[in-house]
Amino acid sequence: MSGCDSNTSNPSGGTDPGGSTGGGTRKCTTCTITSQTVVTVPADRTRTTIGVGEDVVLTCSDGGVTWTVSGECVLSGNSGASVTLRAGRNAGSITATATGPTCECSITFTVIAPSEVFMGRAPGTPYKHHLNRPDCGFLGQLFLKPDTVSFKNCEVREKNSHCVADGFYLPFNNCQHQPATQTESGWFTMQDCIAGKGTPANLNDNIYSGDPGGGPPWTVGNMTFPIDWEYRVWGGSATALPHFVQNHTTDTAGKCTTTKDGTAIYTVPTDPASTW
Amino acid sequence: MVSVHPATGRWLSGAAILGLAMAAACAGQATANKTYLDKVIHGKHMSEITARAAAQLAEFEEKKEPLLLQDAADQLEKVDLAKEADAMKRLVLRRETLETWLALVALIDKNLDPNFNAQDVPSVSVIPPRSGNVAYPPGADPKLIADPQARMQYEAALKKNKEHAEQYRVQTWMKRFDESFSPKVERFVRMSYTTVPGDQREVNETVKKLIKNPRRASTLTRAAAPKQ
Repeated sequence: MSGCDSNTSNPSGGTDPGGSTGGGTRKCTTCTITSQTVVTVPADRTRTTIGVGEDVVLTCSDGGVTWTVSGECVLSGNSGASVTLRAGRNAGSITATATGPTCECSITFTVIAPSEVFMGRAPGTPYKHHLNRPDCGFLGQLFLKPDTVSFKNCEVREKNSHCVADGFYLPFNNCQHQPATQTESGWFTMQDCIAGKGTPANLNDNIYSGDPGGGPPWTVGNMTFPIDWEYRVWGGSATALPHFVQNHTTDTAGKCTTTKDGTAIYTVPTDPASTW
Repeated sequence: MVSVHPATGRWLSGAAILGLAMAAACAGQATANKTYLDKVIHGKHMSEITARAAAQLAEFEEKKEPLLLQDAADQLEKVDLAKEADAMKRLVLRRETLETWLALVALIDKNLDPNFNAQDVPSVSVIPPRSGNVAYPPGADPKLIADPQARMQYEAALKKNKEHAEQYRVQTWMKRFDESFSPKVERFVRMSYTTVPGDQREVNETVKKLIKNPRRASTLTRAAAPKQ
């Protein structure tokens, strides 16, 4: 503490003990801490809910302070008017306290981890399809949600998996999602958060049914890959993201439907050939 | 003046500390077969903090894992010259910190690809080429492809995509670190060095020995130069 005789916490940051009385105590002045996230999206840069690994610049109204923290984080320094706080690798709470000769103030952050994956279709990209064939696919873009914080300092990877296929897709049954030599993909970096969508990964996901050949006539078929992604923060250990599936179906008319997470597309055999 | 040797704990006189500082300075000079950068990242440091940071830079040189640069920068940001009460040791700490910061940005310059295209995003998997009537789904094992030419083509595409993904990741971090560390190094120079000739000389000579990028060298020497 700063040597004041009592403290009254101010949730916005300041502490003003005010009623110091008696010999040997000093009357404290109030200080405040302002915070600004390093990333510019989400637009509210003063937010106190931040993503795992996210950086925030803290500035104390009193320049001659020392900084202390509780919770999982890294501080760029422990003195001076401004320091950068980097949230840790896990969800939780962080409190940064600035202590000067005559004041003490603090600010508390809530740190959240990615809670959801969204696989969207890369904007403006065509489907993948061969004329007169029951095949289909789309170019996927992965987002980490929620979009209220930035996960730019995370990295993601996809685990390898085997599909379960029947009917038209039976020749592909037990086919792997990645070559047999790998248990998962490499790590992919993240971009700036996009409002309304989340933090996108720097990757393209080729999501395609394939085509086992044969027909017409076509038979009904179903192929499902279990999909598991992981994230890590600043090179830390891998953490599983919510599980979802990638599914491909055909019907007797050759209509092909591909679904991955929240996105679904379909083609019919007579659709013109296209690819991304 | 007396002080405690950081490694041995023995009391040292002012002259001994001066000798230690000079020895440390000499140790920084490049030998015939080692660059000054090598000397900084593999050489001895008086400061535990800069020694740790230098070790992380050395590990980066070996593994090319970009996040090690962030670890090194985190260490260097902990250096607080004002907390070093001993003037001679403070001078050594300042020089070691300058050298290690400059080694860090020199490694960024050395590894940053000026032609890196952030729009050329890598793929998680590769679509195998159609072989006869069959098109396997993306990521399928190459052994499944019967046609040897199609299989070879697919294996080459897988290798290329893997290399591209790795390189894209490294370059993305390099670019971010260049943007975030450069102002920190400049700030360190500006806040830690005065306009006295000795200070100016130390900055200019260290920049000359470590920084090959002319634009960065100019920015750093300007940061230390007397303001007009």
